[in-house]
Amino acid sequence: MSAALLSSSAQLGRLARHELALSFRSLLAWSLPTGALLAMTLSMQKSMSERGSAFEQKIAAMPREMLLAFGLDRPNLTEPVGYLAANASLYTIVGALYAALLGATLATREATTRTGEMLFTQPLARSTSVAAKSIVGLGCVAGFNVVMLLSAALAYGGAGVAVARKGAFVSVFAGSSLIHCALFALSLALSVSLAQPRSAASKATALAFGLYGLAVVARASDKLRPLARLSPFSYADAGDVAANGALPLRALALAPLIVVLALVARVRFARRDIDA
Amino acid sequence: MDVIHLDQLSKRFAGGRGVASLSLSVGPGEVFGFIGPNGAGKTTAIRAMLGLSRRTSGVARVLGVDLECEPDRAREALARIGYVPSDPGVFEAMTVRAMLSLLGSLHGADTTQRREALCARLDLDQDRRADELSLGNKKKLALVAAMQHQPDLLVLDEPSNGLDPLVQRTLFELVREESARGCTVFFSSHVLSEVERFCDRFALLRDGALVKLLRADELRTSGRRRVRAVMGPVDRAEIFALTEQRPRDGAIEFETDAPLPALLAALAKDCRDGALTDVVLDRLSLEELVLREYNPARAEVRS
Repeated sequence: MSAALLSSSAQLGRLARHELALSFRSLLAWSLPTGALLAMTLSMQKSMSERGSAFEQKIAAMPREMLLAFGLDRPNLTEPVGYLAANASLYTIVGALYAALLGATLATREATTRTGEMLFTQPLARSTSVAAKSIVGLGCVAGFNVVMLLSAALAYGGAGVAVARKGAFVSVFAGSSLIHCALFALSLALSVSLAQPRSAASKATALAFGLYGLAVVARASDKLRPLARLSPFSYADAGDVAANGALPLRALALAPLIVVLALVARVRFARRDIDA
Repeated sequence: MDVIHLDQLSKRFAGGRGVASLSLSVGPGEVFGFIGPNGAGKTTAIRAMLGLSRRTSGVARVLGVDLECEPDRAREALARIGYVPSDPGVFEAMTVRAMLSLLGSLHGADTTQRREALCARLDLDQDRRADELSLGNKKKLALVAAMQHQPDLLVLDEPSNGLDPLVQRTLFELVREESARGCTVFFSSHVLSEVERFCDRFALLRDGALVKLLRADELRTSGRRRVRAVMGPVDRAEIFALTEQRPRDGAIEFETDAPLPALLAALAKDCRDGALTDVVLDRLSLEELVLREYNPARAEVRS
């Protein structure tokens, strides 16, 4: 048979559909319960704000370090976007965990299912495969945040809470999307570089928790504040977004970081030994 | 042009195992046996040859292309290669049909008809979930995936492992048909009898190094034979000139390089003289030859 090669873009489309089909269930499994939890939390905003000063006093009674660490010092909790920002750590950390695990899963799928030898002896460039993984991964992470946004909007809508600062409301989710995409790209790049791909999931989990912990510690202590630069969580903090009404400029630094990490993953994936 | 050309191919691992300075060539249409015990480096050599793992040094060209270093040409070459891994995996949550369709679709040609025919011959149910298949059925799936695009080169790594005898027979028929079509076959196995049956040449591998290259016809015409003779109570016989052994319990078993006419003449004379009452002649099999290469002491015990 003559080698009538399928174009790389057509191969990319087929592989992306394949990766999406394999990843879609996990997207639903992570996003729907988290979205429901977020919606439940946000639906209480109206009753909390109606308690007014009593609620604020309760918050104010918390230790300063704790308020700083979890971003409760800046937002006005009686206002919808401020309340969302105060509760954003819930879905931010879950989403980070999902993004990191997704990166590890996509990067090591062929190693864990022992399909690499069959797939990469097809007329397929490995760069096409890693591009499909990157597109699907970033798409799923964005999808997770869309579910969060819709859950929040439905919760506020259902509870009769009017969101006046719609731009700030959307920006909170845009910020968490960027954080999660950075976590995904970091995990993908790290996982394709590992000598033992089967340990990628545990390392990705440690990475997500470690970077979140770093951001928390850096916020809580003046001495450790410079460490915040090392964590993507510090670049698009929901508290900052709520306080400023928009994404901080430094959040844009995550975009080139994501691109660079995706390129690193591409190079490392092309050079890696397929041993299964 | 050689279909496979390996020159001083080496692949070293941190643990020290791999292949060292492997050189061999496989011509168009040849059925080439790649033989060695577990851990000899067969799979490592195949992976380095196919660009799946990066070689430490040396040259590996398949269909004229270095699959590791020439990514632009590698896709064209890979479109002409079918590969069955020794331990094939499957994508989770996919039917056999979906997985074969995905792999076939990456070639850009319609492989449906050929796929259907191959699945029917191998009795592979395409509606089953691939991740629920037994090892044998996964092997069948890998065989269909490797053959559905009618490759010019078929690389088979332990293809019969896990297959029942009936399916093994179908596999060998398919390999013969591919070979008759002009396809080059690179057949790695440690089941020597199956390689011996239909390979034109063999490479014997041990501890990552090439031990011997053999032609099948050389093996068939090689002089070394095993003789088992049932002897009468005699002090002298012609065949005693061929061995230092003497009958024990009325029989003698030995190996000889004597030319066939001389051997038959000696046996015929002993038979006429009543010194010989029965005889079994056997050529050394590839298995025995290989055992000798790998473990001379054990081979002697067996013989």
